[in-house]
Amino acid sequence: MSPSAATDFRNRIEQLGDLPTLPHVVQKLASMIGRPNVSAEEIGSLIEKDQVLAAKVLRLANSPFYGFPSRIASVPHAVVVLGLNVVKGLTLCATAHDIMKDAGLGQLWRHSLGVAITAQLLGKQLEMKNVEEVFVAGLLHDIGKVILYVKWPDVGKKIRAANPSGDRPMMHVEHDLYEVSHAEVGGWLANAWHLPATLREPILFHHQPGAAQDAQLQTAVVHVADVLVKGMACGNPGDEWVPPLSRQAWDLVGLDTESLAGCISRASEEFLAIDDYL
Amino acid sequence: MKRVILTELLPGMVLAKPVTNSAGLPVVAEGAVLDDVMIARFKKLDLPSVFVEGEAGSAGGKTLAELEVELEHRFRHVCQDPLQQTILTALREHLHSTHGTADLEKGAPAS
Repeated sequence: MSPSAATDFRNRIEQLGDLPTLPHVVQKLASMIGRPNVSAEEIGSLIEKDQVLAAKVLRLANSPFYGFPSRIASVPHAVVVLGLNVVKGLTLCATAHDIMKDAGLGQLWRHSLGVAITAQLLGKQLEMKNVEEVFVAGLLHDIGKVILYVKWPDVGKKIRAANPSGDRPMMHVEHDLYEVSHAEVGGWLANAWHLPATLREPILFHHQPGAAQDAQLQTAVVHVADVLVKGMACGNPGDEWVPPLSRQAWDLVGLDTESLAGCISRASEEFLAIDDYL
Repeated sequence: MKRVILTELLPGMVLAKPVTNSAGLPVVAEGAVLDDVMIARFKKLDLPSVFVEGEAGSAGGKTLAELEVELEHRFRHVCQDPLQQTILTALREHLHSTHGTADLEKGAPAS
């Protein structure tokens, strides 16, 4: 592959606004959220124009993972309770879920939900302010795979063919062939969608959390959650073995033997409910 | 009763809840013994999972020993790292605590 492959990918990502699967609403939302004085009401009513999307956002917002005591009945309500970035993230998740499901990537969605649940558990343990945000970061961390393997099937096919036994990390194969990995592709996508650093960095750096600058804790949480979920074999993100763990991220998350055991047992209980959201 | 995803269904499992189609109409009744034809039909229905008889936790009918082998296999590239050993140990203990009893009842070896 020529050295320009990475640049070519980047250009293709930046033009992803034309994606037929990225609903018009999501694109409009991305630009709207950038405005400083936009209201929850405005955002909510925009999402509600697309009823299918609104239903999916509400379904995720009302999932037992969030555990809100009362039902969130409208999108503006969800914006108020969950925050703008989370609702924007959920909108993207709903879109990503559709793409994964249509492409038969149910196992990738299962893995993503597993990481989201575990990241949220870790976030609660760390008493992070916005645990809903790390949930969404977990859901989106492998979004680059959706692009590489689904939107660009020719690329995905080559990567898979170069790793028939699945024994090498997909990331290394992606790098060898195209000089970029799904993490970088996801990061570019996050940029194109104007996602905040708290979502962009966990996506971009989930395999090298030490590189995060503005969202170190969120990135460390998603990195550790990814390792734990691969260890627990919840879903299959494409390569079914546990990736290397960053000591720095592990220390930031600060799990001791007892809290690790507690996290594993709570996560595995919550995984039982995942099928309802597949 | 336990929930089993479609790819882990095996002939001989017994349905613990009726299987319904997307319109909510029953397709196969509770108590039916699964065979290959039925499992193939479920896959066409695009169901995420079904409920079958058995102890929760005995995933796909695998024994504790089989699950442990799979667990260690997943860690095969990182087992030199002491931190990963900590995680592996915690996951192994979790497996034992959730599967130990069910396997003993079935008479399978406990380790």
